[in-house]
Amino acid sequence: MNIDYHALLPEFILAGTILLVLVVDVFLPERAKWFAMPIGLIGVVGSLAGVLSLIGAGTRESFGGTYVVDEFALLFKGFFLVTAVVVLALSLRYFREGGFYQGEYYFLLLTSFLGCVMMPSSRDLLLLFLALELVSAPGFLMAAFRKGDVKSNEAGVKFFIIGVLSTAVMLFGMSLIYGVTGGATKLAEIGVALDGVSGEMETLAFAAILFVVVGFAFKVSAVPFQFWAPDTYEGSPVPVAAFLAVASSVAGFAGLLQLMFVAFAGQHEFWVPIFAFLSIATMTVGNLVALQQTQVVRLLAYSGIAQSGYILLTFALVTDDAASNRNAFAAAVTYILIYGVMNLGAFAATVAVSRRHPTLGVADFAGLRETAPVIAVGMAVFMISLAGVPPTGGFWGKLLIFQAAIERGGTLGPALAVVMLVNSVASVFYYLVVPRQMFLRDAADPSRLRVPALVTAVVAVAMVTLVAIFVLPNVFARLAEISTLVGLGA
Amino acid sequence: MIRLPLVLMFSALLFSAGVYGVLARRNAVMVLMAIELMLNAVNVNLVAFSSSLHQMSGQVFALFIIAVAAAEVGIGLAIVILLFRTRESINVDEVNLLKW
Amino acid sequence: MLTEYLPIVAMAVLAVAFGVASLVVSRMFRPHRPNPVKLSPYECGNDPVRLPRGERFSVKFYVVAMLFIIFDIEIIFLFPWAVRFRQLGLFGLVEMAFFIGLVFVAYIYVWRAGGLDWATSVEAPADADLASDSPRDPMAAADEELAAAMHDAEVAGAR
Repeated sequence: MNIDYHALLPEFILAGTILLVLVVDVFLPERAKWFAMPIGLIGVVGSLAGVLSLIGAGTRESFGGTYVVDEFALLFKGFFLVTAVVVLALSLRYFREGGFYQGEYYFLLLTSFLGCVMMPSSRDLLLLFLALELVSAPGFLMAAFRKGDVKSNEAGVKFFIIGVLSTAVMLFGMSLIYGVTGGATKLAEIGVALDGVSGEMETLAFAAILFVVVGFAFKVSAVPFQFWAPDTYEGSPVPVAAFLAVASSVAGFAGLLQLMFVAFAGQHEFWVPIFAFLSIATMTVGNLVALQQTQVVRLLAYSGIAQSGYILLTFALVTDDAASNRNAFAAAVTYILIYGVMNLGAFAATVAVSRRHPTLGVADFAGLRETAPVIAVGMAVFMISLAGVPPTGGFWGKLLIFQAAIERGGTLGPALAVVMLVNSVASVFYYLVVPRQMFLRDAADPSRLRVPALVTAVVAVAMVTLVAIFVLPNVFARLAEISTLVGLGA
Repeated sequence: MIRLPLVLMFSALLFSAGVYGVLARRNAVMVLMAIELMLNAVNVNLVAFSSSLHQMSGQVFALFIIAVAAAEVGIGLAIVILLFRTRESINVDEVNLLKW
Repeated sequence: MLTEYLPIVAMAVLAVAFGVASLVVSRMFRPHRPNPVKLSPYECGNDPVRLPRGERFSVKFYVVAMLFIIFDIEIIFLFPWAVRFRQLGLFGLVEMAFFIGLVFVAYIYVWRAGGLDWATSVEAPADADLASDSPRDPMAAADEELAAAMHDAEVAGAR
C-alpha cells in the first residue's frame, strides 16, 4: 500500500478545514457565525497552494494506482479550488443577510468541493462513485437551504430524487462492469479487460456502459435527463445555483471524460452514436427552451444545458485514431474550463442584482448600465462569451470544438459541426436579451445598486480573464495540451 | 450452490421494482424505499460477482454503497420533513410549482 | 464437518438458557402486588384517554431515527478492519482511530446543535417556525402530523 502524502496534501488541507468549520461553528455566538467563511477561504487557498506545489512533480500514484495525481487532475483541482474561492466570495453577504444557517452552509459547500477535488484523481469505479456522491449529497441539502420557501423545497426534492436515482442507475452499470471484466475496478484495467470480451458478455458490457452513461447524463443535465436542472437552479439560493451550474456539472464531466476516454475507449463504436444523439438533443432543446425564458436563473440553467450539449459533442468525436482523440479531449477540457469562467461570472452578476430584485426577472436587469456599470459591462461580456461571439474566450472554446469536429472527418464530424453552428447562431437571440435590458431600457429605480466589493471583484476578474483568453489563446491552449490524462487512448 | 445467472436475474428484477417504485409512487417516503431497493439490487450484484470470482473488492464496494445509502436516506428524510413543514403533504406529485 | 458448528450450538444454548434463567429467577424473587393504576398503560398518574393504537408520533422520532441510521452504519467500516486486523497492523489501527475521530466530530456537532436535546425540542411551537427562515430553530420541532401522514402512507403502501 503506497500513499504519497504530498500528492494528497490539497485533499488533507481541505478536509481539515471542513472539520474545523463544523466544530468552530457550534461554538460561535449567533452574530459571529459568518466567521466560518474566512476560515473556509483560508483553507481553500491553502489547498490551492498545495495543488500549485505539485505542478511539475510528475505523475504520482496512491492507493495502488486508484488515486492518481497527474496534469489532468491538477488542472481540474486548481479550477475547482478557484471556483470554491469565487462561490465563497459570492456567498458571504447573501447568506449573512438572508438569515440562513451559515456554518452548516459553508461546511456543506466545502464538503462538496472536496468531492470535486477528488473527482479528477479517481481512477477507480469505487472512488469515482464516492467522489460523485460527495459532490451531490451536500448539494441536495444546499438546494433546499431557503427553508421557508416552497420553491427551494421543491428544488431540494427534485434534485434529491433525480440525483439518487441517477446514482443508483450508474451503480447498477458499475456492478455489471465489475462482473463482466472479471473483477476489474481500476479504469485502466477495465479498458484492457473490456477489449477482451465478446459475444453475450459484450452485450452485457454495452448495457453496463449505457447504464453508466445515463447516470452521468443526469448529473450533467443532458436531454432527455435535464428537467430537474432549471427547477433546482431557480429554487436554490443563487450562490448555490452557481455552484451547481459550474462545479457540480464540471465534476460530472471530469468523471465522464475519464470513464469514456480511458475505461470505455475500446467500445467507442457502441457509444459514439449515443453521445451524438445526446449532444444534438441537449443543445437543441436547451437553446429552444431558453428562447422563451423570462427569469434569468432559468435562462442561465437552459443556457447551461445547451453548453453541456457542446461539451458532449466532443465525446461523439472519438475514433480509433489516437491523435484525433487527443484533439477532442483537449477541446473538451478547454471548453469546460472556459465555460466555468463565463458561467461563474454570469452568476456573480446575478447575485449582485438579486439583492434588489430577488425574483430575478429579465426586466429586473433594466438600466443596469447606470445603477451598476461594472456589473452591466461584465454581464454583457459573459453573455457574448456564452453565445460564442468574439472578442471573448467563449468564441475560442467553440472554435476548438468546431475544428476537432471537422478534423474527425467522416459524415458524423462535419454534421455535428453544422448542428453546433446553427445552434450557436440561434442562441445569440436569447443571450442578447439581458444586455438589451441593461443598456437600452431604463431602471424603475435609478439609484445606485450597492454591490458587495467581493462580488464586483469576481465579475471584474472573470471579465478580464475572458477577454485575455481571446487575446492570448495560445497560453490557454497550451494548458489544455499539457493536461495529458494517464492512460488516454493508445 | 446457487447459479450466478439466477442471482443476476433476481437483482435485475429487484432493480426494476425499485425503478417502478420511484416512478409510480406518490408518497416521498415510498420513493425513498424504492431507491433503497435499487441500491440493494446493486449490492446483490456486487456480492454475487465477488463470490463467483473469489475476489474481495466487490464486497468492499458493497459496504461503501450501504454506508452511502444510509447517508442518502438521512438526507432524504430531512428534505421530506422540510417539505411537510411548508406544504403539509409529502406527495411528490404535488411538488409542481416550477415548470418549464 | 458438523462438529465445527458445535461451539455455535453451545453458544446458542447458553444464550437461551441465560434468558430463561433470568426470567425464572426474577419471577421467583420479586414481589407481585398488582393494582389498577399500575396495570394501566403509561404509568404516569393520568387516566389514559384512548388506546395507544394508531397514535401519531412526534417528528422528533424521525430525527432520532436519522441520527441512529447514520451513526449505526458507521460501524460497517469497522467490519473489514476487524477481519484483517492482524495484517493491517499499526497502520490500520491509526486509520481507524482517525475514522472514529471523524465520527466523534460529527457527534460533537449533533450534541451542540441540539440534536440530542429531547426536552427543549418539545417546547418548540409547531406552527411558529413553519414559514420563517429563522436560524437555529431547534432541529426537532414537534410536528406530529408529518409522522401521521407518513404512518398512513406506509399503512396504505403495505396494503
